[in-house]
Amino acid sequence: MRRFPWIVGGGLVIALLVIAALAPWLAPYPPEQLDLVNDLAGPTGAHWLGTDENGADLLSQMLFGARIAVGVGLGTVTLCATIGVTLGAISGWFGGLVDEVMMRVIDILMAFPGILLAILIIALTRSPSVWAVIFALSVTGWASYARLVRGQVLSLRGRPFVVAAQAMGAPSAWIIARHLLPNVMAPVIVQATFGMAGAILAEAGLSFLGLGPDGVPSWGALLDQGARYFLVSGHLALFPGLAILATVLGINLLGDALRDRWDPRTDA
Amino acid sequence: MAWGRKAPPGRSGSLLHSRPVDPLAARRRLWLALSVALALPAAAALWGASHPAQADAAYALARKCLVVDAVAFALWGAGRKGWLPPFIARRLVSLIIVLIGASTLVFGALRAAPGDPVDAILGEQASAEARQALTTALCLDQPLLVQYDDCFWDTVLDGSLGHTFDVARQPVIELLAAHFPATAELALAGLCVAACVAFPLGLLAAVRRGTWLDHAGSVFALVGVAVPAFWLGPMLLLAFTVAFDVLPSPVQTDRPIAALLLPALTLGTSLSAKLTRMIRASVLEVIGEDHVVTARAKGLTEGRILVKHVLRNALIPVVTVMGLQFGALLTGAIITEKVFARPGVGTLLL
Repeated sequence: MRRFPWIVGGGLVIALLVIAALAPWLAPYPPEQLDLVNDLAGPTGAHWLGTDENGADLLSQMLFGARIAVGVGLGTVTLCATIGVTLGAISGWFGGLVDEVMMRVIDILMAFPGILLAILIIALTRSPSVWAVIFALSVTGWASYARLVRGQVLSLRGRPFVVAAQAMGAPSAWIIARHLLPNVMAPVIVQATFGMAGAILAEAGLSFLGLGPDGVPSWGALLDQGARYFLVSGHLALFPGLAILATVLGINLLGDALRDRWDPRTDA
Repeated sequence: MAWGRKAPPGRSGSLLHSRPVDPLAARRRLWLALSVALALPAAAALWGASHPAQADAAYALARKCLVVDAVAFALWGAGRKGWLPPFIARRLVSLIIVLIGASTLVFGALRAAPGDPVDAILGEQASAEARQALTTALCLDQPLLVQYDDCFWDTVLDGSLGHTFDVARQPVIELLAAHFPATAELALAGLCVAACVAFPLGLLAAVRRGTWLDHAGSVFALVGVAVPAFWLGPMLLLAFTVAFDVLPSPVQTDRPIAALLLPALTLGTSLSAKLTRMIRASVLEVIGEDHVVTARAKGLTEGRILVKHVLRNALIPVVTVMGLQFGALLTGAIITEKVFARPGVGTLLL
């Protein structure tokens, strides 16, 4: 039972990555190829998950949608973690005015509902790209990483190995990079895992509201289309939703497993 | 892995106690606050002196800054003098900072965002005159500082929060007042649903630890967080309204409570999953403590122990999280309102 999160979470995440990487080879049809005779068809041998209102193959669209999910998830997490870890480490290490200002900025960002700001930013973009979505989700997203890293750095500052490095005359940048960051990476990676699940959900939510990346088959957009036809063909909404559910579930399980391994104190 | 072995917690691990105890710290913080408070209006005034075209806006901004500073320091002083509880004074000051900062953030992010609001509102086929008129109306032909002062803060301060861009030119505040009750109702209902699901489930999972009930609770906690509300909504609708026909469609207005149930369930599921997990962990922590053993030794019934000795203590963190999550529910209502075509701030926003 202890290995359950590892196996299920890891399996789902690996499957997602493989699907995203191999989508063009796995997809039975090009996602934009229309089969106008078989529109809104249920799952059949030719179209495993059925077709949408234009007769495009749902499975192919969803396989390509995995790329969007992985891209937005990884992109957002990378951007947020890079900004957040850098600023958090600087803030925690130098303290004083830098820290004070940074903490107020972070308070403001954390008080703001991120998805609302993302909606506003994307609403102004005529045809949002995947990058625009990543940018919109990262504007407020880095704050939690910065706060986490700052707290960790503060707790490490007075430890003997840091003081020893200081006594040897190591510059601040060296101490942060070589002594502090390796020690704060475990919680950051755990947070990044949950952050990725959150980013994928947020991207799907934006796409569902019609504010996702333009012209690509994102899961949220597929779900939005499917929800319009859900009385005639429920599968159109069912399968993209299950894909989102399985992805987020897998990533969260993996995050739980990582946290239990590295941070046994916060056992929930 | 190098970072696999985590350093044991140091002297000052918690964020709350991270600040070194220093008798001079309070004074230093005051100087810091004073210099920041004076630097902003000074910078605005200097900018106005060096840019005559924007002088009016810059001076107006400097005046506004000074007013805000005065209010903030009055609150701070009231806290120091004991006219206000210090905690409340501190909170009010940081509320002011956060409100101004958050609105500036919105202003900045919207200006920095790629895309042209005129295009977004009028579409690409609009005539040059219409575009010009809207650009003027939105102050987009003005320098950034003038936009920030005249078009952003003045509309906030005159209480209208700006106007809509259609013919009606309704003040935004009226629209908000008309739409907010529906959103608040939905968010409150979502909170109630979350509590009603999470409390029994989390409690049972903790008390019957290791049984199928506990596992069911864990599965619910995992799936509930992962399930997207915009998928759960249509599926619930399909199940309860279309297939079984036990609940009215959410647009049906003659049974408002029943019509609210599915949206509330949709909105509350994610929170209830989080809460279930929290309640379970929190109850498990308290249930092993000495005072519970004592209560059991006194011969109290299990029910009484749970309610009076365990729940009371276990609820402290849970209630905090519930309060914090209410804001998230209000945001989440945007999507739920779209799914169920309910009137509300979310519908207004989109």
